[in-house]
Amino acid sequence: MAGLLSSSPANKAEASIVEGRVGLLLLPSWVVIGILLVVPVLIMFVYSFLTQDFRGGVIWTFTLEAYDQFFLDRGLFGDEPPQIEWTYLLIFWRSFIQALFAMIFCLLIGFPTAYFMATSPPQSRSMLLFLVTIPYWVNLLIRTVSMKFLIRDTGPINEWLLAMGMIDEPIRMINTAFAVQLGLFYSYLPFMVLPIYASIERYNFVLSEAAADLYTGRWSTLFRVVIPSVKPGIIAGCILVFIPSLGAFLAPDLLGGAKNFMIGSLVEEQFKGQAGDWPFGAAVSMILLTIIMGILLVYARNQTQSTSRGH
Amino acid sequence: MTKIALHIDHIVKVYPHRHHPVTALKEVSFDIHDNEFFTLLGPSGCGKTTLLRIIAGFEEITAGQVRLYGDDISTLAPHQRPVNTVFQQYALFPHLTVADNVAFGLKRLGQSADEVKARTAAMLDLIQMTEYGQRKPHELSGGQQQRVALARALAPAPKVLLLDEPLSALDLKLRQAMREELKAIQKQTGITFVFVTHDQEEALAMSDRIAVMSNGEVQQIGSPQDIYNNPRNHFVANFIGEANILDVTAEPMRGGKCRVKLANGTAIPLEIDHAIDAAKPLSIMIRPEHLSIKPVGKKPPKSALIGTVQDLSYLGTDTQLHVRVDDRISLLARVQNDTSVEGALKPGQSVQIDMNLNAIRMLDH
Repeated sequence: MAGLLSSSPANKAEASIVEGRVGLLLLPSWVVIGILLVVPVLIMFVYSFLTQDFRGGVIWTFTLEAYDQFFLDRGLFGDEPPQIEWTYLLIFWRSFIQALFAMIFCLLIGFPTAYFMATSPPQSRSMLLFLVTIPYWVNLLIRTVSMKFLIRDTGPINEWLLAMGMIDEPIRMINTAFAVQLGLFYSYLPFMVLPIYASIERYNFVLSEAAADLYTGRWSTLFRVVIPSVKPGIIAGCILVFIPSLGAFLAPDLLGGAKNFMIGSLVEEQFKGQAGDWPFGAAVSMILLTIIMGILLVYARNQTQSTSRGH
Repeated sequence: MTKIALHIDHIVKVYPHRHHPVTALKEVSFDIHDNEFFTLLGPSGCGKTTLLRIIAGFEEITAGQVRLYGDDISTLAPHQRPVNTVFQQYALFPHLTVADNVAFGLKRLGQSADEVKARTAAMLDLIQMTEYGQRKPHELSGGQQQRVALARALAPAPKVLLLDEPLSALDLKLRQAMREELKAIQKQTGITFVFVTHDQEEALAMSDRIAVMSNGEVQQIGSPQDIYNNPRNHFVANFIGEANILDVTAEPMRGGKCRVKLANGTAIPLEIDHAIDAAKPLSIMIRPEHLSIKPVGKKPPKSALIGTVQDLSYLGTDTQLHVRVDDRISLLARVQNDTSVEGALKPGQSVQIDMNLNAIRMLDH
C-alpha cells in the first residue's frame, strides 16, 4: 500500500501518518491474536524444551528430551545406541494419510454440493446454506458418539442389514480406519462446502458460455474454466479440512480404537490426566506445526510465482 | 444472387414463467446475407439479445428454425455451432494469458500446436496487440480487453460472428474508434457479423443492413439510409434519429397525389405511391433538419406555418429549437450554425416554418 502512495516526499509523510492511524485501528485485533494465538504457541514452544514433571506439569530445566523421545529409540533403559523411533513417525504418517483421504472425499462430495447450491435460484440458496450448518447445532462430541452407535456391530445399520438377510454376521465398522475416515469426513465436510460455495457464487457464468461458444463441452468446461476460476475456494476448503483432520482427536478416539491412533490423540493423552508428559505433548505439537507451516509456505510461494508470471 | 448466411425462420421464444409466460420473440423471420454487417437494433427488452443467444445456442427455441448456410442448427449445442460470440462484458478467461485466451477455441478444435501458434499470432497482429500476448486480462484496459475478446472469437474463423453490445462498456472516444476498427475488420476478414446494439448512431455508422426490433418483433429491415429516410412506422421513426410526427387527415386527389391536412387546418400536398385508407388515422413524419426556420417576414404566405420559438439548445455544429405552432402542434427543428439565421433566433420569437415536401413520409400506425 505504501508503495502505491509514495510518489512524492509529501505523499510519503502523509502515507506514514495514514499508516500510523491504520496501525492504531488494528491494535485490538493484534491484542486478540497475541493473547489467543501467539502467546499460547510460545508457551508450548518453551514447554517442549523443559523437563517432565511426573504429576503433570513441567520442571524448569532445559532439555531436548522430548524431541529425542520423538525421533530416537534408545532401548528400554535408554542405554542402547540410538536408532530411529518409528512409533510416532508412523502415527504421523497414518494421520497424514487419513487427513489426505478426508480432504479428497470432502472435495469429491463437497464440490458438487457447493456447485448445486450456488447454481440454485437465489431464494433457495439461503435455505440450503442453513441446512449445511444444521449439524453445528449439536456438539461435535455428541455427533461423533451418535455415529459410534450408528455403525457399531449392534447398531441400526448392521441390525437392518441382518434383518434384511443381506449379511449373516455384522460388518465390522467400528474401530477401523474406515470409521475414522467416516468421522473426519462427516465432521469437516461443511468446511469444504462453504468456501467453494462462496467462490462459485462469485463465479461469472458467462465464462462457461464463452467456453461453450469456443467449442468446449461440459466436462471440459468444468476442468478448463470453472475449476481454475474457483481454485482459491477449493484450496481454502482443502486447507480447512486437511489441517483440522490432521490434529483431530474425537473421531480417532471414539471411532478408531487403539489401532487407529492419530496425532491429535497422541497430544491429547499427554495433557490429559496424571500420566501426561507435557513437554512431549508440546514437542509433538511443535513438530506438527512446523510441518503444516512448511506445507503452507511452499504453497504460498508457488501461488505468488504463478500469479506474478507474465510481468 | 446473394448467399444467405443465416435464415431466421418463424422463431418464437416464450419464457415459461409460472404465473405469466413472457413472449420474448413473436414469429421473427428474416435472412442475413453472406459477408454482411448486420445489426439488430432496438431498446432493451425488445428481444434482440434473446435472438442473438438463440443463434449462439444459449437459449432454446420455442418454435421455429435457425439455418446456417442451409443447415438447420436449431438443436445443436453451443459448442457444436460454427459461430462465435463477442460478449458484452468480454468474458475473457481470467486465469489464462491473452495468447491462451485467443488460442482457446483453436485448441478445442484440435488444431496442431503450430497451427494454433500461427493463427494466434496472426490474430494478435490483427488487433495490434502482439506485445501483450503474455499478459493476463486484468492487466489490460477495457478497450484492450475488448479487442482480445474480438480476436478470441475471430480466431476459429467462425461462419458468423455474433457481437452482443460489445462497445457499450467503453467510453465515447474509444467507442467511436472501435466502430471504425470493427467495420474494417469485418471487411478484411469477410466474416458475416451480427451486431446487437441499442445505440442507433452505432447501428447507422457500421451496418450494411439494420433490423429494427421492438416488442419481440422486427419493425423494419433495411440499409441505414433506408431506415432513416423511409421509416415504416411510428416506432422506427421515433427510435432512429429525431422525428416530428404529426397526425393528419388525408383527402385523395387525382393522379396518385393526395392532400393532407394538419390538425390546425394547414394543407400539405403530397405524392403518395400507395393507396391510403382515408378512414384510418394517419400521420406524417419529417426530420428536424428538413424544416427551415426563418423570422416571419412582412407578408408570410397564407399556407405557411407560423410558430413561436420555445427554447434553443446549442449543439456545436447545429442549434436545435422547439417551435410551438398551437396547442396541438409543436415541432423540433435544427438549423446549421453557419447560417445567418441562427444568430437571429431568440426564444419567444415568431418564426415561419417551411417543410421540405420531398422529405415528408407517411407512416403506418
